[in-house]
Amino acid sequence: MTRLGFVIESKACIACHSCAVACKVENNLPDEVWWNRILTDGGPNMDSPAGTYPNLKIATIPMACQHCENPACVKVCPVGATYKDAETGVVRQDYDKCIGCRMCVAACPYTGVRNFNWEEPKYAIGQPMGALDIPVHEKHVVEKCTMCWHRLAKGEQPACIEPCPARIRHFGDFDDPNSEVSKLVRENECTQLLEDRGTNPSVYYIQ
Amino acid sequence: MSKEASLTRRSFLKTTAAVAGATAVVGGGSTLMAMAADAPASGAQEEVYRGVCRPNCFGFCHLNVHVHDGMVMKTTRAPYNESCYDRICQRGLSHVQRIYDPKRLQYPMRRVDGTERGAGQWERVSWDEALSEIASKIQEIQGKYGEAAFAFLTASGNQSAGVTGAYSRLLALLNASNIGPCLDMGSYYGMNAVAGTFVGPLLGYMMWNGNEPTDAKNAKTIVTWGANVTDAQIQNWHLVKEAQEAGVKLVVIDPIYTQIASKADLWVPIRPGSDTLLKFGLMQLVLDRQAEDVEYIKNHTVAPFLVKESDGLFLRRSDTGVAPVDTGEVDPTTQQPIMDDPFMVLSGGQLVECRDGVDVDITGTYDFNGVKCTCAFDLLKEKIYEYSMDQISSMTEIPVETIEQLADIVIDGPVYHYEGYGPQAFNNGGQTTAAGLTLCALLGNLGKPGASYGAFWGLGLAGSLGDPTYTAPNGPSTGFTIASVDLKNVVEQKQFMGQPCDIKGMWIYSANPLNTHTDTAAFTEVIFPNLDYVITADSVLTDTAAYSDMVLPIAQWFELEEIANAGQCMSYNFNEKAIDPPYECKSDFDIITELAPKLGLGDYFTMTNEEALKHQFTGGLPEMLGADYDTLKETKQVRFIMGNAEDAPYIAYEGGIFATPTTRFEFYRENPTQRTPTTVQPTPEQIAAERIIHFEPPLEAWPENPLYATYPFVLMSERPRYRVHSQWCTTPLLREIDPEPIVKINPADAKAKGIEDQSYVECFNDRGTAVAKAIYSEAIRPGTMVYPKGWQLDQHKGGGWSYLSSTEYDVFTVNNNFMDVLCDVRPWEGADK
Repeated sequence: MTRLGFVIESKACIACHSCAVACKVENNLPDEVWWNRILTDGGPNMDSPAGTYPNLKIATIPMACQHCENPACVKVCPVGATYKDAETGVVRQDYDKCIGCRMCVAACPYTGVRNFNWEEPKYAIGQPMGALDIPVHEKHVVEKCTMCWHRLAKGEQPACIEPCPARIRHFGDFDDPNSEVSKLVRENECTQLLEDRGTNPSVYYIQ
Repeated sequence: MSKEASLTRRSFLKTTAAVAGATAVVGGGSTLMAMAADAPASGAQEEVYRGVCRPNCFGFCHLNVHVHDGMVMKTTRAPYNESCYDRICQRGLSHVQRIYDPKRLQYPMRRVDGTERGAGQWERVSWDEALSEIASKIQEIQGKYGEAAFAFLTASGNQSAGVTGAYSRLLALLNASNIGPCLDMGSYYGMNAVAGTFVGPLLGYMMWNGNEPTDAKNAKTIVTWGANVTDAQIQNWHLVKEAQEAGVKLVVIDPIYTQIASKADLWVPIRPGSDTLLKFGLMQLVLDRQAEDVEYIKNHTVAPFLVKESDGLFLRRSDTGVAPVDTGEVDPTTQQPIMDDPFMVLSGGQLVECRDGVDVDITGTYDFNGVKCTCAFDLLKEKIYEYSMDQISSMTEIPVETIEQLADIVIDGPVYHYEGYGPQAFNNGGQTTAAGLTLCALLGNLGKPGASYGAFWGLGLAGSLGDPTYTAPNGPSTGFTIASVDLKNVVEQKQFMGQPCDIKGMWIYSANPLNTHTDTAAFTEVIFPNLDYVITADSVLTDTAAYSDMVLPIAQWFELEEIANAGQCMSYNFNEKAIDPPYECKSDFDIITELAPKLGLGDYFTMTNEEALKHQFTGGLPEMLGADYDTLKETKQVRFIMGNAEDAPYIAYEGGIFATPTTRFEFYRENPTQRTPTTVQPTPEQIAAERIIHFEPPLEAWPENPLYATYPFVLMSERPRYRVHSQWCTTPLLREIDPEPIVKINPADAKAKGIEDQSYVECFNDRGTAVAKAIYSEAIRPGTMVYPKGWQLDQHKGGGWSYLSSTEYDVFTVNNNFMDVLCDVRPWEGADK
């Protein structure tokens, strides 16, 4: 079997947002829609640390759909629009089946990784951008990180991997013990987000 | 230009179904490979061109520009010839929204007659009308006020051979004046003062010399000085990170808890503008502990030279009555005969000629015919011990124990010191670089792997030296070269260098001085009102364009062929033309070529852009350097420095040789000169003081300044993560992340001022104001505020950041003092525009 996922060495993340921008452009995301965001674990604002000057600390966490092995979203979808792809472990959305009930949004413990298009998507520029083989974004559909399904289909990595200037994003198959990501997980102390929820995300962080 | 994406949502699902089917058929093989075998063919029509991203963040990264049906779809990371330099960032990834930005200028625009500059009233004009008007205005101004009354102003917004070559050629033919940038020149000045400026064998002009960043892994410790690497030069972060992974320690000296500070083994918070003092403190400890490299000091610095008290110059044999002897050799650069007139030094207390093999004294005095002569090293020690350790601790606000700890680290070399542009953004900024290099010279921490002080930026000269007549067909311009920080003074005094000088017309390209230079009001209140005509060529309506009379919409980077010839990868970078300029946009080159006949200069501009690039990069010199047009076009990148980034990184100051008049490291120099001439000349006292490295307080942002009582905050800036200088200022997706001007403030300071988190505030001083959203952050040193640079005036609810800074400048460094600014802050009570 295959269980595709990510290892992110977030201890070296500098919050530059390159992964988020690459995702936005590749997937032609509408205005104000971001499938991949950068969270600050620290003070009240982006890049603001915890503590009192000069005794400070900060952590930065890039976050998108966690492509859980045991996804909470799949269980609650009344129409089977949210499902886990058996071959790859990718958690997918079937836009045609989606009825816009947003149960998946409510069930997912990773707040904000999903987006519901309340209105007709708007675009700042007058032409599509990114890949040529991505689906059109439509109103009243829940969307999220597809793990760049269109790229996987061409044997390519998701668009967020290569451009990372810090070179901290790794992608591969956790079911292959020889993959880079499996080795990283074996050789480092890794965390998954909200481990207590039992979702077993396919995103591991080295913090 | 609206175009639907090629797949509907239903066909996307069909594709995925087919993939699943293929996988099932293949069975136990790699799922991804199976997917690839059945990949949709929709990408077949895509074309990929090589682009070079060139806002001068230092990076000059190579990008793949993906084009479909004549439109750019995206930009991705392209391979550099040295894969350690394969890089892209959030700005490089967002080019598609920059190219098709709804705010992009689409056609030439003229300020509506009778309206004020900056009032925002524009009329569309044709290119022919625009260029005819420009030609007649240039001729009118030059006819009435003299050729030098028309000037060009540029900065580093598009560092490329084609654009700079064409403008330089036009400027020279017009005998126009040149307004030179003063941006981050403190570091350059300080380096040039003590170590000289190198031009390497491959004609790399090392404007910011240092060991290549890929050499940092060879150090024991990396020390960053005011270098916000993780925001301002994020392309280098992975190199620092990889060095850390290899066991190199990281020390960050910065008033602000930046991202890189959060990754450091030791973060040393410091009072802004006091870095030079810290370096003096470290030098004290080096000497106290006798940790200095005596052999290096004796043989590679001016330490043994005897400084005459009478005139401040070094004692030479000619002072003893022996005339200089002609060696029969000729200096290749000056074409003057090389004369032998050795320096006189002490050896065992005896006055001798400084020759190879002489064991020189570096301390001591000598009475030469009644003139006291002192070893330069003794003068340096006087400066090093001028302030006590307690005073240094008090003024830098760093505990003595921490300075001691830092001394342990810098002594235990090799140390890779990475200087950013923060410390030099104060009026005393030239000295901080000079002092940092001197610290390293004392320790012999230069010229070896892992041992460096500086940053890394250079300019390749193969094109401009290949045919020097290209940029000056009839000789260099007879116009003035005026420093941008001095332009206000020139305009007010109407003279320069002892000659009448009245700048009445200006053409601004690759620059946004009203925004990215200090003192917006100097432009809006003094300089522009004196100008009869202002032209700005840019891709969006920048602050500068908004105040112009004629705005020309230029082609963006991937819309023409170019050779970018500068940056931190020290290479010529070949940029292919990916698409035609959209709308009515034209390349700067084509604008000039079409304008030239209207100025009677048509015969000088008969080449196409591509032909002009070929011309500059063809012939003996470029070919000898392997940097000719054909090679560049094929390989996309050729270094203009020796070595290669991965296996043999460039090492600065190898062999202890310096590009100074003495070829030694000159912590003391005989003839300090201004970086560039200005309306103010240094006094004899200033020249005497400038000979040796020294500390002087910032001009304004210093506790002894009485103004502190009124304006208690040092207003600092950061090179923004979501722009480069002011470029990308309107790019929609970056504005989603970063929608409006902010100012970061320590919550304790904010609360004392009655300022709530995320509320609008007004920062102000006697010069001006800026309105921004206050962001609580403990990363900010109490007593300071930090704003990201590059917000345009019309993006502020009021004022603008550069209204608060001044054009006061140090007479030697002639630099923009971006952070030497005091201000206060209060809640904003105004209303939206």
